[in-house]
Amino acid sequence: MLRLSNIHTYYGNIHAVKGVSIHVNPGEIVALIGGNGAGKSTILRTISGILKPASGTIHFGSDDITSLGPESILRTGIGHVPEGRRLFKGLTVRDNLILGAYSRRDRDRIDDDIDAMERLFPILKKRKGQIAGTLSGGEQQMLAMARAMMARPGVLLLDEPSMGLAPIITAQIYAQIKALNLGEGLSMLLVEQNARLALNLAHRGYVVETGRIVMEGTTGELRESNEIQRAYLGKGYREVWE
Amino acid sequence: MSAYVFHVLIMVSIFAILSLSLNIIVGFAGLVSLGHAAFFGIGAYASGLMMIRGMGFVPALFLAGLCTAALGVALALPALRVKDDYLAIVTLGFGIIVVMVLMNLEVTGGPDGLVGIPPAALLGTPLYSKPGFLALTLGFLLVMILSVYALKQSRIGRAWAAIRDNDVTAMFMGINIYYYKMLAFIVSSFWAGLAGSLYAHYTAYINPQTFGMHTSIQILSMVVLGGIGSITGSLLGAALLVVLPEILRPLADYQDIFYGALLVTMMVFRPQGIMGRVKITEIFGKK
Repeated sequence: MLRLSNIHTYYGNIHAVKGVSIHVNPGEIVALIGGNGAGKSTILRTISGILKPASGTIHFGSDDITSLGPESILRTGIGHVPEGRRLFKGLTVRDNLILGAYSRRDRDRIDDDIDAMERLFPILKKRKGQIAGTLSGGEQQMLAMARAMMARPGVLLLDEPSMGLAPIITAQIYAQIKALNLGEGLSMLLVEQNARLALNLAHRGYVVETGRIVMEGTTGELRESNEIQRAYLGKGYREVWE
Repeated sequence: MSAYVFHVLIMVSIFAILSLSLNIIVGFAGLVSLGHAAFFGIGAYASGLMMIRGMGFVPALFLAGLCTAALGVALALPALRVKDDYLAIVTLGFGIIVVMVLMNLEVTGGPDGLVGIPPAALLGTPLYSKPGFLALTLGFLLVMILSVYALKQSRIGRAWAAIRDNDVTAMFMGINIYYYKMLAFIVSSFWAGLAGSLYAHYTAYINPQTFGMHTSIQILSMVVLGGIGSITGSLLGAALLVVLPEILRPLADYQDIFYGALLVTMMVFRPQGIMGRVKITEIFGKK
């Protein structure tokens, strides 16, 4: 459904993504795991058109979206929940949701979708008149996801949904991500530093290191891999130390 | 009422159009502009020159607005590549360039300005009387308030609010931020051009000094004093900063001290401006 072929992206002179090929199938959650600065967020930003790839192609369904601008890419059905949530902090919760639907033309159905989002994230209904910047971290993450859903995406790019959240809130957010995937059959590309979380939720995963995909497979396979266990899941060290 | 009172009211309504128009750039779209008086001047000169050459008032007025909007585009094309402090510098530079050009072109009369601009005329009858001209400017002001209010509530206003709050996020939402920033400059400069035209045909004489940095800062002060983003605030700011110097006139050169003191006091005690985030409809709704 979403397919990147041999994508290269630069930040000025820095070669941040070096020939990445990944794909997401319909209804699938795919995780990108890897350390700081591996290029995970850059891959997402390249997909949503915020950054332009130097070479390679990106296909969404049968469309080549490589050269489209961010507005058109959003309109083809790729939603992006950016890192650090990036809410409109000075606007109300409701304004944030309405702005999420900015790319849509079917104005009369937007209210229905706001209702649907408030059913999915009941706290947002309680907070609807509140200024978004005054929400708690978890609420902000929920609002960021609900806002992205307002554009009715076919695939959702989630950048570090657990960032800065307490473990119990993270678990709640992950349960909601799973519900979105099961309930709406929504495909997702998930970037996460917390490899354990990501591998438990996703169906497949890619390991990104210094701009390259160094490993891929189903999350079951990745969990079993010694490399992953040692580098990302923190297993195996005890035996070495003791 | 004396002619003097009418004169002050006319100036209030012309400056209210100016502050409301700057409020579109500064308050709605969250951009900076330190050269707004240049748009005022371009409108005044364009309209004056066209009428001196025999064009009627109404076409000259609207053509002046369109010319100014075109120059708004010419400024926005390079200026919107930068933001914040850099945008402030570019717009400041634009303001200075326009005054320099007006001062040095032969067709604009150089430093002496344009003399003998015909008065405004409606349906062939010239508007010599001050009450008549006040009715005209108030009419424009009313149309402007309604259209600016409608813009603020519209899809465009929502996009501006998003850009003002966080322009990168606005991009994530699929808002073409360049287009909407440009639109803010176009709408704003169009209205500033109309204000310039009204001013030129009211005073019958214009010179470059009127449209310099001092006036730009004055218009910006009206927006800030009234409350950035508030329509009622821009109107109040314009009224206050036009009327106050008139009241303080006996103090002559010392009036700038009061002016400065007023702005400093506002910054300390009510930095959000007189209106701030409060809406006029809320104040009356509570009663």
